[in-house]
Amino acid sequence: MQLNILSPEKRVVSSTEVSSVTLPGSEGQIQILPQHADMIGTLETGEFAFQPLDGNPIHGVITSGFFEVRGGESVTVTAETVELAKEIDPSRARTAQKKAENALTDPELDSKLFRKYELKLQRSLIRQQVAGREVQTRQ
Amino acid sequence: MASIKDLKTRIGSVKNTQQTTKAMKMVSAAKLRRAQDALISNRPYAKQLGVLVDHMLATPRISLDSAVLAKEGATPIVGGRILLLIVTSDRGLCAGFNATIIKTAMKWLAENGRKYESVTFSFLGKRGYDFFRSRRGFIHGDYFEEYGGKVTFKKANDLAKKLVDSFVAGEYEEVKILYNVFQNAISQIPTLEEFLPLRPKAAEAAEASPDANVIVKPDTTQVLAALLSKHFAVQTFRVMLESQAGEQGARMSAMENATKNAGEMIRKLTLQYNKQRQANITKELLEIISGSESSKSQAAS
Repeated sequence: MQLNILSPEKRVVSSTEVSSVTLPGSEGQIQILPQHADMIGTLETGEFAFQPLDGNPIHGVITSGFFEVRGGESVTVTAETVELAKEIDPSRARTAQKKAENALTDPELDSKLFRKYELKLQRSLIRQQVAGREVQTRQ
Repeated sequence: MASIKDLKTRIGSVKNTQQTTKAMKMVSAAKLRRAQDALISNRPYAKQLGVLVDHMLATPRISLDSAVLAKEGATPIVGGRILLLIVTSDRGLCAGFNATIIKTAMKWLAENGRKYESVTFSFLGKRGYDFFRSRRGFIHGDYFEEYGGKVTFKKANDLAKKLVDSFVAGEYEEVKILYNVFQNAISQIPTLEEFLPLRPKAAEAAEASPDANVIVKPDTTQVLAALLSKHFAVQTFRVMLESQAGEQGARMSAMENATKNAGEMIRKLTLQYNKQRQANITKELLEIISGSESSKSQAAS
């Protein structure tokens, strides 16, 4: 089946033949295989992966968006931001994690900022996780 | 005939103008490139969101309930109150960019104005606002000055929210946007687009079989709410990007033309100047020669 991943900045994945796609759905991880029923849904921030017909599986991070399965043969993902594992800089993610952790220790933090740093922390953790995964598959 | 001195000053001033237009062209070219990149990379995303909305609307099994959808049985053309958002640029010197939009708006008003109970024009961009400010035949809506200038997603999001809110509050039964779609640097197409309410596209509806079903996760209401709030903002953002890229493209080609015309003018003036100079020299020579001839003949006699 064909996979398209779009973000406001670019077409991250365009019409790639894949045998499986794993996405961070709002109700938990969801894996889509060929001949899946038609489906529309929302995505949370999290890890995604897909298996191209030829080559290694590709991992990445997505922040909130939508996906659609149509006709059992095309999957389209539209997300706020999309990062592939090879684009992730683990040391930057670590710095971001430290920063967010430090900020969260502040007892004066109001709830809005708290939520912001919480999301930042979540993202940096997922990034490191995904970056680590890519290294493993390469070895 | 202009004197040689006048010609010289004119050539000088045309050269100055040419330099200005040349510089403006360069600036626009740089801006166009950036605007175009932003637009081209955003288009597929905006389109896909639109497609997703269409698919949701076209699936008969999904029952939708949202204030932004067209009411059952409402026919498209005959309407009550309509809001038309006219998108132009803030600055001029961009050839027909704003003029075509204004012309299209006037034509639309003349043709369709009577079909509506009331027509309101709102503006994004100073040029359109300035033109229609003192005109009649419609209700003057808002001038969204605060959303002009540099295009950002936040501005688009806020503007979209304003439009949707006024629609949901029942101020208008229809909202359309008139803007230039960027084709390439020399052509922009004025386009009138339906913004609100959302209607299932006939083609999509025909394609979907009556018993087609789509699984919607987590549930229809949540997905639709999330999708629509995104959709309107992204469409507005795209409109702004289209207009911005179009403006820079139009200005670039206008300035290129101006530069070319100035060059042509300089060529003509220089020719005239040289002719005049030549004539002057010839005249002076004649005077000197005839003077010396006459003194010679006097000396001989």
